[in-house]
Amino acid sequence: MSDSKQEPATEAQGSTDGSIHLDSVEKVYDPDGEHVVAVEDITMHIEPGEFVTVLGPSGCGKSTLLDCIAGFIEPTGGNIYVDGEIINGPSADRGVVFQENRLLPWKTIEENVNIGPKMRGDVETGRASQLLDRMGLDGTETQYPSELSGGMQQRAEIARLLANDPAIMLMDEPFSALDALTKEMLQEMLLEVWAEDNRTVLFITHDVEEALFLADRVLVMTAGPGRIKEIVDVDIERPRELSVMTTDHFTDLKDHVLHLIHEEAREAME
Amino acid sequence: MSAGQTVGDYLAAVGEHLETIPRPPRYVLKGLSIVGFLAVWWLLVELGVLGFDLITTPLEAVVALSGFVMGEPLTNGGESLYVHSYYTLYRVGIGTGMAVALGVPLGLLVGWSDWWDSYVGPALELLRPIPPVAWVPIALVAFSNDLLSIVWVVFIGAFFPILINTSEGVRQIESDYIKAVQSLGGDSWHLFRHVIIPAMIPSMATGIMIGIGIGWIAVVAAEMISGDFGIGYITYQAYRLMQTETVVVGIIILGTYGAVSSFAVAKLGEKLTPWTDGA
Repeated sequence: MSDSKQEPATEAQGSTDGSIHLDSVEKVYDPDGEHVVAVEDITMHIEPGEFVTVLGPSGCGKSTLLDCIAGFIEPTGGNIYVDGEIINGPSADRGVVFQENRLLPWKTIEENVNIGPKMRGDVETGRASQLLDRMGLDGTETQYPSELSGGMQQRAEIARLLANDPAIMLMDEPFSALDALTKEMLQEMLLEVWAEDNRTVLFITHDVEEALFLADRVLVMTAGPGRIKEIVDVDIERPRELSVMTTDHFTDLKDHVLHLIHEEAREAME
Repeated sequence: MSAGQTVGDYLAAVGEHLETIPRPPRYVLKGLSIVGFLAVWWLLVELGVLGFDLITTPLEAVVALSGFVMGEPLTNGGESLYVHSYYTLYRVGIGTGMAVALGVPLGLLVGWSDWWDSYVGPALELLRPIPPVAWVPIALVAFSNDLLSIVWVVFIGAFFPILINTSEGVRQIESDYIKAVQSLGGDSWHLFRHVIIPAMIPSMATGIMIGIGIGWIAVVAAEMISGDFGIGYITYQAYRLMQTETVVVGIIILGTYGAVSSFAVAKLGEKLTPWTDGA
């Protein structure tokens, strides 16, 4: 269990910018003397308010990277800076949305959304309802997570994260378990929320189209050990609609990224 | 039957007719099952299968039971059903209460902390396989007091299921729930309150139900071997005095208490876990 050596950073009232700087980040696991390198040599700077997606095959360490940035695990090499300071454990300022829905099953939706403020002793009446409304979930306050559909659960998880007003949103394949239609709806919703709040977003996915549609930049990773293959600029204008995925420019980018991934796969087989 | 009808045709007609009769409601079928059980019991006694002719019939048992409920002494010159029940319930209550008070916190520690699991776990594992009833003789010697030794046996019987189920309940907590609360700004205390406790309640409740069940077994055995009051004790005394109707009544009473206590714990478990309705 990862220990916060300081008070959990709960002053998340928009007072920080949300820049992320990764400096030669490396994570090595050593179970029974087997030196397993999950990620290595990750160096990248993310500006405040940027939307960056991390794309790569299974096993490329993208979840490990997110765990490091979230503060759940410590890198074995290099440093992670947020707003110029080395991070030290999880923080309410770096909210996380998980792939499998992780709303607390024993709390109602409203209690779930309020949990961050509640732990700070700072619950505003009506704020949970406001956030749920924003995510299209009005009326679900007194329901339990198990009563909601997958898409609704993920939206509620986003609402819960937003209740802490974090500068950074870390999302680990949040839509990959959803059907295509729900996925598209949530992608558009996420972009809306991001455009309004302008938080820094780091979004992990294995879906090339999703990665390109959402991001300002796509961090393409290799597999075993996880490394940066290339950082692809997505210079498509915003606001973006789903129809953008059929444009030539988008298709070119997609081809380029697929080429990168296939190159990697070929090398891996040799 | 007319001359041309075959037996087969007749049976087929009967079968078709039966199918049109609506099926009786569930509770009727369940009631039939119980009636069937009583009928078999009565039959075994009437026919004198093996030694069954010495056992009372269901009717005799009910008559005896109603007598005792009215306050008759359970054995000649002895105490009533209520006095004996008091002793037994008292012992089970204290023993199981202690088992919960010790087993739940220890379960939390062993489930959560590697240190406790490594250093305290093995010692507990040594004691766990001992059948609770086997403790009775040594308890009688070590505690030299009937109440203490009986309570000890109940305690040791109920303790281990509670400990094991609680610790498993903690171990099985999805680590992502912990991460979620941490990333929302929670410290260890928050984790404990918002994740660990709610998550382990179902397992703990199961452990307590099992623990109470074993506690009942333990108290009856302990009372039969020692003691001078209690339903277990008097059941055994009645056996030695060949008062079989009292023996049968003893079984019925113990069964009833066991069922009620299990049911109570189950209900309590349901109340504490409102999120599991029809999930």
